[in-house]
Amino acid sequence: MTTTADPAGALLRTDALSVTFGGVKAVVDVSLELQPGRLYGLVGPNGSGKTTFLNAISRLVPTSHGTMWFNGQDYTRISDTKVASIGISRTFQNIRLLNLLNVEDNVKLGADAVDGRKRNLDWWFGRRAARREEAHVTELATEALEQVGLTAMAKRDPSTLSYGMQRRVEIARAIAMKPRLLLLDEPTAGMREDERTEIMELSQSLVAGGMTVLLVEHNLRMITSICEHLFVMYFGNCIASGDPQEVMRMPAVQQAYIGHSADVPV
Amino acid sequence: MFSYFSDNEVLIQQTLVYVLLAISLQVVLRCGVVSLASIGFYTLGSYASAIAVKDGWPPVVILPLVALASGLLGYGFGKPLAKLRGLYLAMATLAFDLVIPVLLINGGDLTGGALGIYAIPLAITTSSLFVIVVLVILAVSQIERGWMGRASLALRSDENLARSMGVRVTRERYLAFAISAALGGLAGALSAMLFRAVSPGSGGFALITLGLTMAIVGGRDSWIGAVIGAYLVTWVPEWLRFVGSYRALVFGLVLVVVIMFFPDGLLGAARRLFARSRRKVAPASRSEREAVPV
Repeated sequence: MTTTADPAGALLRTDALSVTFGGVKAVVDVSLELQPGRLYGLVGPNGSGKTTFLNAISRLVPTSHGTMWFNGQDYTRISDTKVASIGISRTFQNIRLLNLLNVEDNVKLGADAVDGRKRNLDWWFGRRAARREEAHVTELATEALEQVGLTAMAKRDPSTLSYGMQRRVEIARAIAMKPRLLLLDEPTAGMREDERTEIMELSQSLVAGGMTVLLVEHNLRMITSICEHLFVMYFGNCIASGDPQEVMRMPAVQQAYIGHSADVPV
Repeated sequence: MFSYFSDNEVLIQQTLVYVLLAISLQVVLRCGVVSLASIGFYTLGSYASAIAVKDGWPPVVILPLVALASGLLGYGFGKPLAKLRGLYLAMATLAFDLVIPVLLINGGDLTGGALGIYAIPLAITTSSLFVIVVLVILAVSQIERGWMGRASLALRSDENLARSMGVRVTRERYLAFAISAALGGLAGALSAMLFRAVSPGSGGFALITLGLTMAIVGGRDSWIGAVIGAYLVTWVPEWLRFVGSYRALVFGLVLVVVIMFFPDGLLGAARRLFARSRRKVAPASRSEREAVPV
């Protein structure tokens, strides 16, 4: 991470961020800012570039243009494996739990990233310190499971849990990393209404605890009701940003969603 | 007891060497790195050890040197192969394994040509071999525990997820390459010291198949699987002597059945069975049944 300071003071800022795959422009000159301790929403029709944008800011795909700042530092060129240690964690659109590990160990995988990954040699030769670290990681994992209400499932095989519970394990793994910015990619996809409400309440409680959350979601009614600020993407561009109710009334947004201006129920 | 040991000493030695060889493959397979290079390092290690023993070097110097040199070469070998995955990596490392016997055949007096090196002085005892294997297992078992264990399984299951969790994927892959090569080299060195002969054919395709069989039939998730695999591969053919000339056929069928029905190896099957029996004995706890939503 370079040491040039970002004058704007936002937690995350992207300047003209672009991602291209061959000739396809998946994200085009997206500039946005996320302030600390707020809940942001990112919406857009299918294929509008939301997940690619999330992949870009978590460095899982290379950017073709633009800069990204996190906590005042330019991190556009850092390794994808260092993103966790600077304070950004995420979940994925499809559930990606390791069925080889139990629920607690899946969450520990996230907690392992706190304070940066440990060194291999320390693990072999510093046994006492390694035991202390493991105890700390267990503590973080237990805390995260408690936050998502899955303490009782800690020793279960993730594949034996319901879909909604698996989603919560993913979120627990992400929050066990103690991130400053949490990226949730369609965390309620395929869930029942009550499960969706639980996830939204969880997001709100994380924000109340000081975390910044960027939520990608398709359910407009839900996202506009809980987010403080909404971004809309369309064909890779960020076409609107601002108060969720106002944004959903913008003609450009309505055009993107339903093809013409209308009163979108929000 | 003593007579059983002396009657079966060679088989016991073979099992212990195979344990190291199987672990050398299991270490990489556990991380999802389909590298067969440790077989090539086994051959190189056996020749290096044979030459050094004949020159009068003590095993206490040879063994760490061979393991260290193999590990460093393995680390270096991992670099050009860093971008290869799955079958492509297997093919590249297979080519490495198959090139080595050719080089050894053409190695002149140093390698003994097609005949190899024989009449190597016996340089190690079974008890020393046992101690070495136990030490290796203790070191390797640490990789499977704690954050290293979780990171290696993440590497195997989902590399992108591992990256987003901060796992230094490239470094962990290099490390797996290095450990695998070091163990392969060590197994080869011990084999030359015990069995007193090495030949270019000793590390060919047959050993690759054998090594993979041990790691996969036993179970690649843990060193325990490698131990089970090594034990079975060495002892089952002995138990099958009563079927006479059909021994290889019956053994092959046993392996096919195991691989078909237990894709995660005998260790995986045993673990599943254990988990199922525990679930039957202890139904979901009250807290589990009443697990409340957020």
